[in-house]
Amino acid sequence: MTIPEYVGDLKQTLALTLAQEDVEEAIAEVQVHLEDRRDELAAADVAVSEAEQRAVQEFGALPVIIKAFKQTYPPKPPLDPKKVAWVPEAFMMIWLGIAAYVLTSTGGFQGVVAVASMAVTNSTMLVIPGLFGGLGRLKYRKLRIVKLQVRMANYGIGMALLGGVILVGVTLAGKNTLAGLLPFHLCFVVTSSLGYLVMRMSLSNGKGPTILRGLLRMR
Amino acid sequence: MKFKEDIDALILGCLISGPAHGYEISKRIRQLSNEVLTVAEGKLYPALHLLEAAEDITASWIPQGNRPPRKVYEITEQGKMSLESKRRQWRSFVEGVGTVIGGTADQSRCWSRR
Repeated sequence: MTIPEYVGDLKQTLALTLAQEDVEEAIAEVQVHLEDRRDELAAADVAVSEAEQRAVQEFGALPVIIKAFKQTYPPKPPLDPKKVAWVPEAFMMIWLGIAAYVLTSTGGFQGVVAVASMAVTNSTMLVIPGLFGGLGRLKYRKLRIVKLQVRMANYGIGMALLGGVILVGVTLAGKNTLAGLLPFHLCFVVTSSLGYLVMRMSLSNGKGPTILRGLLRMR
Repeated sequence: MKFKEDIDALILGCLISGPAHGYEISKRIRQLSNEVLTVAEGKLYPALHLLEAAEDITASWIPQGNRPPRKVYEITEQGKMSLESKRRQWRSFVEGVGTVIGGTADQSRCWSRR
C-alpha cells in the first residue's frame, strides 16, 4: 500500500466518526510522519516504492490505528452548529409568545405568577444541552461547546433566576396563591443553576473542572 | 518475557530533552533505547493527543518552507511533574519485579551464590 492510499483510507474512515477539524489535523501529522520515514529509508538506499511500503507497515495496520484514533478523539458532533444556530432564539420567541398569551388570558397579578412559574419550570430544558456539552468537555477537553448551547443555557438560567426572584418576592409579599408550589419551583432553579455551573466550569481550565473530572473519574 | 511499556512516560521522557515533532519522538525512543523499544508509530499520535488534552504537553504548528507544517510538541511544567511521578512508579515496579526474578543488584548476588 502506498502512502497516499493509506492516508486516503484512514481519512475516509475517520471522517465518518470524528470532527472534520480533528481528522484534518490527525491526517496532516500522519502524512508528514510517513513521508519522513520514507525519505529516511530512501536515503539509506531503499527503493522509494519499498520505502513507502515499509513506512506504512511500520506505522501499523489500518484497523488498529483507526481504533486508536477513535478511542482518543472526541466523536463528531451530530449536527452542524451553524445550521441550527437559530434554535435558541426561535425557542425563546415561541416561549415569549406562549408567555404573552398566558399573561393576557390569566390577567393581572395571577398572570405574572403563572408566567414566572412557567419560566422556572421550562428553564431546566434550556440548560440541558449546555450541561451535556459541559460533561462531554470534561471527558474530551478538545470538545468545544458550541455557542448555541451556551446561548441556550444563558437564556435558561436567566429565565430560571428571574422567575425564581418573582416567585420568592410574591411569596414574601404574602400574595401568592401558588405559594405551595414554591419548593417545587426552587428545585428547578437549583437544578438549572447546577447544570449551568457545570457547563461554565467545563469552559475554564481551573481547579473546578479538575475536581469534577476526578469525581466523574474522567481523564 | 515481555514488559509492557508506558507510552506516555516514553513520550514525556523524550520531550524532556527539548521540543520535537511526532516522527522525531519515535526516532528518539528508538535511538535512546538502543532499538530495544519501538513504539507502535500509529499509536503515538493518539497518545500525544491525550497528553496534550491533559496539558502535560503543548503543541504548535511550525511552518516548514515548501513542506507542510509540522506539529511540534513541548513538555509543560505539569508534564514534568507527571514524568517524575511515572519515574517513581517505574522505579518501584523495577524493584518489585527485580526482587522476584533476581534483577536487582542484591538479588543478582544472591542468585549467583546459589
